[in-house]
Amino acid sequence: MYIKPKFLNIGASTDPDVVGYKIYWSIPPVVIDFSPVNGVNVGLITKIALPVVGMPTIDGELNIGVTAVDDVGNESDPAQGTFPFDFIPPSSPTGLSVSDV
Amino acid sequence: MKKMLRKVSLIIILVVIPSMIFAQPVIYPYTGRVNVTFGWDHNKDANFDHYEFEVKRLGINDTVVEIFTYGTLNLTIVILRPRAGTYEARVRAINNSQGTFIYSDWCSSLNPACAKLKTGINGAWKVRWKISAPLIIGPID
Repeated sequence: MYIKPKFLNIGASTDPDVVGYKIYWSIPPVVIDFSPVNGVNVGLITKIALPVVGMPTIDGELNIGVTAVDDVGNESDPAQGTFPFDFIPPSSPTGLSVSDV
Repeated sequence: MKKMLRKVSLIIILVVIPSMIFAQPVIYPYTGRVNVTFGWDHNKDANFDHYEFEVKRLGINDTVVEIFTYGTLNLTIVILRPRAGTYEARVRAINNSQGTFIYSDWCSSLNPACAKLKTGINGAWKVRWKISAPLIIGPID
């Protein structure tokens, strides 16, 4: 099954010590828990292909949070937004058959 | 009545005074790689040489992770964030007595007897330099 990625664009942190970003999420109405263990490191990229590992593949809204991190694990305050996603592919056709003309 | 008063006084001493002594330091946050100005009061001796100023990056349970040291002749110093984190600041005066340095005690931001809050009253404080946050522009297909 192939899930076409949706790309999340982020504006880079202006901080010179930043070495990467972490992604957090939750399904509304649950708010995001920004405990460091919940974040997924995506590296120093600003166009992130979603879903990342562990992200639910849903058809609906997701709260997305992004933090910047430095080389000793300091994390910035998060940037957050709520966006619609459709990660659920259509069901496969069935009953494929052939008949005489 | 006297017994009750004594009990109440003891409770106040046990509850209120420890909380005054062990009040958590105020944390002053700054975001980004920015300058912060530190200042202190001091009457210089005739053989004053310089001030030694330190910011100490604190880890878990306030253990010192790294120390950044600076020297100045002034009563203020402007420090550009060395690295994001939470810091204790401290300063001491150094005299030069015929080529020998003589050091004052440190005045630490964690010592409420020595440190002043931004309100002007005595109190312990730390500085937290935070990393600048990114922006979410949004998803695109």
